[in-house]
Amino acid sequence: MTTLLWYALVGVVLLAIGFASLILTPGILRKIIALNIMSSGTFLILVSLARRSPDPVTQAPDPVPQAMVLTGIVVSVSATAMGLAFLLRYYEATGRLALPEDDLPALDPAKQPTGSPDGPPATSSGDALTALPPHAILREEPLPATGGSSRPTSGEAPTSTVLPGGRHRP
Amino acid sequence: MDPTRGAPRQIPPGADPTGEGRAPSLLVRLLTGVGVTAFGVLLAWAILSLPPTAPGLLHEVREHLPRSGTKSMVTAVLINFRGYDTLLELTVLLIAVLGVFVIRQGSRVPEPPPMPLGPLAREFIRVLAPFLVIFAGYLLWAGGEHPGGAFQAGAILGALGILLRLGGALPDRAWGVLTERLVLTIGIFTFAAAGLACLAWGETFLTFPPAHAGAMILLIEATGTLAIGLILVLLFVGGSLAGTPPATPRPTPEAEP
Repeated sequence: MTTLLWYALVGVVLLAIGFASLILTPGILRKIIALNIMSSGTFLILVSLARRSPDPVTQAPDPVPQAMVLTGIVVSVSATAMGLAFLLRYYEATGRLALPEDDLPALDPAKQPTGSPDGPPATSSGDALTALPPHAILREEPLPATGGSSRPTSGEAPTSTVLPGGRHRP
Repeated sequence: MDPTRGAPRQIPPGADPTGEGRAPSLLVRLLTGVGVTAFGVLLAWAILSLPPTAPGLLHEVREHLPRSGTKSMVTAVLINFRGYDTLLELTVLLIAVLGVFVIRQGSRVPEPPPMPLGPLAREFIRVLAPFLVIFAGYLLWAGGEHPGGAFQAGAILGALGILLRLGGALPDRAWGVLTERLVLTIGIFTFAAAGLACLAWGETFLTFPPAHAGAMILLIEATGTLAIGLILVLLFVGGSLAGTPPATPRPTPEAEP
């Protein structure tokens, strides 16, 4: 086995690890990282297999796979950035880091103050958000400002809220 | 008003504290393990059963290299032979950065202030910045003969912008809206204009005439470097850095694309 085949096999392992992680981890951030590991494995396979057609004079590998990997890296970077931006937005809207089908029924809406307009205010806006199904919150964007039960908007008095990640939201 | 104000939220029993959802069931894990292992073994077997050498596309590239306007085979493939690919690549980058702008625009959580770096790190960035600019320029120029080119040089410029951002030298509203939009799109515009100019020489779109190919590739790569660098910085920042500067005069940031 040549060294380059070894690199290609390492790429296969990376691809498989990323694939498994993509399926098995419910968190979106981990899924994004898993996709990056998968693409790294793919790039490794491509550039190592480019060595199979070396230049007879300079021994340089096939340039076409190299150019494809170069452009693939760019797609990977931009897709990652966009995925992270989506994740941040989703987290701000729902306070969750997993998609609804992977998510736990974190808080029971019947037992928690859900922040209805007539009901008592929720203990914190994070509770009010996580008590609702995330997609419902996304659809009703922006939530009406009803006392302390909805998310603080810029016009309201500053209240400190701790989101599930432990991050303070002024 | 808020009883939990200032204190971490109580995680009720049964809820996951990380907010990352539930782990899949044992059956799903087993099936995934078997399936992914089979996939990996199949792919490894496919790779191992390949013949050790393959004709590849190297000979075609070598054959047409003298007419491509560059001595680097990768650059020739990237800009000339597969020009469509790279042009749309720049479009992907632009769409991604515009998407990030749109997604982050409705954000209600203000960005955390940049971490104050120590004096040593700031001084290091100050010393490093001009060398990174030179390095990016060298990579761009070297792309004509050796590995290098717009993407590598743009990555260096992007790294420089991220360093400046982390060091506090690249504030919000660092430049004008028009400047930012111009630099963001200059790579695509130049590439497309060069492709259209080929029509004037009687060629098809993006078929560079050999007499002018070298200059056109250099122009495309130079403008592409600026655009890629700025796009990478803005993807890192997660939003636009354009805007009218505040009333108080700021020290002008380092020259950025």
